[in-house]
Amino acid sequence: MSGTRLSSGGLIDRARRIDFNFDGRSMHGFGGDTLASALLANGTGIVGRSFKYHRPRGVWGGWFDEPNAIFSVRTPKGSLPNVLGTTTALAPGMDIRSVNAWPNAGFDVKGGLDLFSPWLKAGFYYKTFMKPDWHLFEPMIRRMAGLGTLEPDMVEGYTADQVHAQCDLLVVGGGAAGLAAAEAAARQGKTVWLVEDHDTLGGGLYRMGDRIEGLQPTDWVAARKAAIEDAGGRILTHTTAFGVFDHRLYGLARQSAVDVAPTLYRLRAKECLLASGAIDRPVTFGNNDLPGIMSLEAGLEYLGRYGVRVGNAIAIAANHAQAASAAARLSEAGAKVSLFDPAKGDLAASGRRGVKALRQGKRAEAVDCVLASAGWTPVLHLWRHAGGKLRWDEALATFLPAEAPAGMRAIGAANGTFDLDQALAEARAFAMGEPYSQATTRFTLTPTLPKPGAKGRQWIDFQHDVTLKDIELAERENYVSVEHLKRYTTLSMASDQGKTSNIPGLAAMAALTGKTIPEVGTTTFRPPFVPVPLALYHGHHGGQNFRPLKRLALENVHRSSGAALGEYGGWLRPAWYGDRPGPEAAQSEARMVRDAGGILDASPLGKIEVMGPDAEAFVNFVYYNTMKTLKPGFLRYGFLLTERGVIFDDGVVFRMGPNRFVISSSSSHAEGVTGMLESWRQDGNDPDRIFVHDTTNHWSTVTVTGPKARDVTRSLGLDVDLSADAFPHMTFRETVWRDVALRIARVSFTGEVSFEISVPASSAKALWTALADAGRPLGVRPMGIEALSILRAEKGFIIIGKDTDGETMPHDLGFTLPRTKKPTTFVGDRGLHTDAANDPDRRQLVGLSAIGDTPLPTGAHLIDGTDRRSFGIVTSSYMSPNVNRPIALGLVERGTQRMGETVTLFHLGQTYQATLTSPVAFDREGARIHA
Amino acid sequence: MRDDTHKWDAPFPASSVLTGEVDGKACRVSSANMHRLTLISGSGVQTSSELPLIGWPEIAPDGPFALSLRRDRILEVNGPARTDGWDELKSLAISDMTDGYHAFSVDGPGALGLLHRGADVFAETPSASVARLIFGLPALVYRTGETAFSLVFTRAQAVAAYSALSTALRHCAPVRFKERP
Amino acid sequence: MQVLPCPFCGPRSEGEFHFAAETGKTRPDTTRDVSAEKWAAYLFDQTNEKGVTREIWIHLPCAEVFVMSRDSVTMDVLGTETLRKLPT
Repeated sequence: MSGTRLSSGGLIDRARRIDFNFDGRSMHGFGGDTLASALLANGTGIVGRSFKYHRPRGVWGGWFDEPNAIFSVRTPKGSLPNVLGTTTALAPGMDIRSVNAWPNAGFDVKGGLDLFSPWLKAGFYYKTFMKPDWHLFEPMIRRMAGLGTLEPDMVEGYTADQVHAQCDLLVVGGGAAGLAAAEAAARQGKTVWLVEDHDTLGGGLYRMGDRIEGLQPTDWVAARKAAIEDAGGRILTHTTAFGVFDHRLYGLARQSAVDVAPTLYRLRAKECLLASGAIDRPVTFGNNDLPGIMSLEAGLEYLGRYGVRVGNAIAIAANHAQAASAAARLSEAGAKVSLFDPAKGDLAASGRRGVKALRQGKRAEAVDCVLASAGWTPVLHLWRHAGGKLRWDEALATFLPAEAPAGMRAIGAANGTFDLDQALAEARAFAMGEPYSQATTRFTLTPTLPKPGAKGRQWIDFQHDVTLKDIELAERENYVSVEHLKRYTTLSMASDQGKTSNIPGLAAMAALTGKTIPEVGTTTFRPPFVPVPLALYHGHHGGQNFRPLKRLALENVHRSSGAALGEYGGWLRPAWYGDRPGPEAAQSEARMVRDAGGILDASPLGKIEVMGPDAEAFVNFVYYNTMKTLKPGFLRYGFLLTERGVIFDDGVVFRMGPNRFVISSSSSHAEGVTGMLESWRQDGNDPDRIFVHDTTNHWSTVTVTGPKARDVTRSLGLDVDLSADAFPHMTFRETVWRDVALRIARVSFTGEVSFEISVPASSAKALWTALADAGRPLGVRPMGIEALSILRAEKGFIIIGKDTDGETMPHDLGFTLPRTKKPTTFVGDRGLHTDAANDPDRRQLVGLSAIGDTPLPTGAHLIDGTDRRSFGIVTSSYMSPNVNRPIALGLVERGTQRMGETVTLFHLGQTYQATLTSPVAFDREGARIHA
Repeated sequence: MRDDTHKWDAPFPASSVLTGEVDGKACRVSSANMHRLTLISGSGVQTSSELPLIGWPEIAPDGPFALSLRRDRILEVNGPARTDGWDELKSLAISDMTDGYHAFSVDGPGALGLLHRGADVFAETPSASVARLIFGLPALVYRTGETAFSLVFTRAQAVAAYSALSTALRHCAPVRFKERP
Repeated sequence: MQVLPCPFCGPRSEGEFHFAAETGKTRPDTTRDVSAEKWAAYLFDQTNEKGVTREIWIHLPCAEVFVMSRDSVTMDVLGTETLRKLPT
């Protein structure tokens, strides 16, 4: 093959020379070149090696239909794997390397694999390497097959912009039909978006270079562009409409260069005109994968857009009306052109590193390039994404649009309207909402489809090395459904997703099974239409924006107090304070609380107000525990259940007044509980008599806990008698502190005397500072969640979702009374009396006392000595600094009946011994909490 | 047990201002001050409020107003002081939420474009409620002028919202469309 | 991404909604005996209609719980009804 850059013609800017390297050789191209056009202009024939057989491959297509020209590219910004050469703009300093070829595409060490091709047929790897285990062979095979490699300096970490937009009309494709349609619609006052994946509008107009409506193509295109923009239309170039999603949502990917961040437009378009054009179908003949064999359309594109004549002696193998005019165009450009009609007899190419000759029967022509076309295939991927139907057209030997999806019509070549004048008329009519009936086409062809049974290898899928023989084999082994054929042979599963191979593949299977092509059917078309960077989808939702945590009003105070912050239930909270390692700090803080006291930021605890005349009945209904007997000023601990009877959340209910409750849900669960309350309120209750306000964000809560908690709290000077008699456990008071509302509750998660103090968040810093200042001389300092976790485990207090799972019911934790005695209905009541709920073997909460000094691993299973069946699990485990031994909680079958039993535990290959005990390891009498 | 402090930006100062260009048009993001927010629910609250009721895309006045949140819920902005709890007489549930939210002002010719980075919020699609998701976060989104918007997030998510807004503003593609005549 | 109509807010993006349940189930009166079969049917039975379905959805930003009729094949939304008494 010997491509040549012509001295004139094309859209390229010959004044802008671009230097680049290909497989270590210096070359140059011009502004407007793609990697492929620049390589062709430099006479490069072999651009890569095929996926499986390492056959030499050249450029086949002119745009997104290219199966072969895939490169690793290094730009000043880094390296990029698997770059499609035909659609990527050449940029200064690019280092381009062929993929799947070593040391380079021209000389590939593994090229010898092709000699073994009779054994490397479809399914070969799986059939051969099944025994003893495919996974033994997989790494070696993956190294030999496959395309590019990831380099350490890969371009990544860029942030894609994502935009929501809407319009009246989206026109997909900036060729003649798309431009005419967009102009007509915009002039009517519609909001119009036109997207074109090239950087230049005009589509296929440059191939033949003919005048259009009396103008040169570039002038006609410029006039249409100006008219569209003057009427307010938006034109996006280098933008691909890559998918259609529910309710007329279109995904548009705009990428101005290969190494810059792309932009995603999520465009909701009332109507869409699909002007996505048509691509050439390959002709299936012997050795049709040789470098130098290209689509006819590509040969004309390289000439018309890039001023590159792809060969000196060119054979055109086409079965349709365009062959003669294409021959004239190429001859005019200086090529020696011969014409073959593939319908008139089998073709075969010969050559090793590139095509040398094309034969048909006795006729042979020495050529360095073959331009082949078996007809045009409308590009209807988006049509199928949207749910449009296809019909097989015998005369054009391709699928054409049939029943249209809602809000979409196809125009121009995409609709099988291949004549330019008709395409313009159709586009303008459809854009105005007027009817148009297709006239008789001047584009006639003699259908040419693959013929099974031929000698030699004929390629169907170039990128995945699927030959006609592979399809014959699939048929013999009964993989005749298209979906089976696809997976068995990998036909159309490469990165080009079968843009060129689909119809030849289906046609071959139809011929083999004696069916028609519509009976064989197509595989499903799925987005994206072309590969798009994953960064497009995640946009700026990376790093901290991926799953942002909730932040405390006091975060800056904690940071300046030396807190180590960590995630706890969706919140960023202090894990511990100070410069020490976490485990050491947690032990020390947990000891401090029992000796003196600690100050904890408990703000994430839910504060969900339930108000209204039916509030009491409602709270009583949603809670497992009886809440209607709760008196104002009192708190009660309770469970919210699912209808299955499983624990959904635990927390404390404050009764503020006759018609007002505050539900203090667990810290990670305020939104979940609010949602649960809302759905019961509206579905099953009278929503005009119950109102639910989640006020969690308005308040900050600081908990003072420990033997000196009362002394510290007293420093606030509240008008509340803090003595144990006047202010007992499980009560609360409302008051005012420094002119703001303050709520103080006696409730404890540590087992020590605790005051849980809530103020509006803007006063949190003042409250925290006052308490910390008062605590310091008493040895009462800030404590983190890690210490709290130890303290509550010492007391056998559970954390929902850690010490309970998707089966745990209240009676498994020892809360049995409401189950049998609560007189009114409640959520989950019947679920607590199913056979499963009554099972005597249910897992129950226990304590585990490890034998030895090492804490049990959380997650360890209790195992039976005989069959190693798990009959329980460790849910929480710590070293306790206050009882000076390892402690643990667990859920164990019939646990409460097994107290004192010694059990064996298993975790990651190790076994442990422990004794089952009460969950309460510290202050079993519970005296301290009431002090 | 991990110290993840370094993975998360410290909360932004209330005085910080973000500026940038969206689709070639200037845009500015700053924190806004609202001195009293009162959440009020009741079956007739949408019709009984004395304050102007703001949905989408109505423009909120300078003085006190009420945001329409739900069929039976409003948020009074800078309205009169009220007592928390169940108002027996008027059958209203009332909660002070002044410290529960953080508001950002987004203004300038590029403001709506910045909002489009986070949600499909269009003036052509009116809504009875200003409550929606933007940048994946629950928010109250309403207009305060022709090209000025207020974005109100829960206080705990203000840092996340600030990070989303600043990232989106920083990474806007430099596409400039011709204005529609 | 679908556009679903909230009976109060109007059309909003699918991401703002949660599916809650199929319509047609009433909570059994648990003050009387409820057979295991009846309770299991209440908890777990789904009709999973292909085609026209009636479902309960929640619009999260305004917490509206409502009934939506839609076509589970074409994804067309056929209509919505509020569960609420509308002001008279």
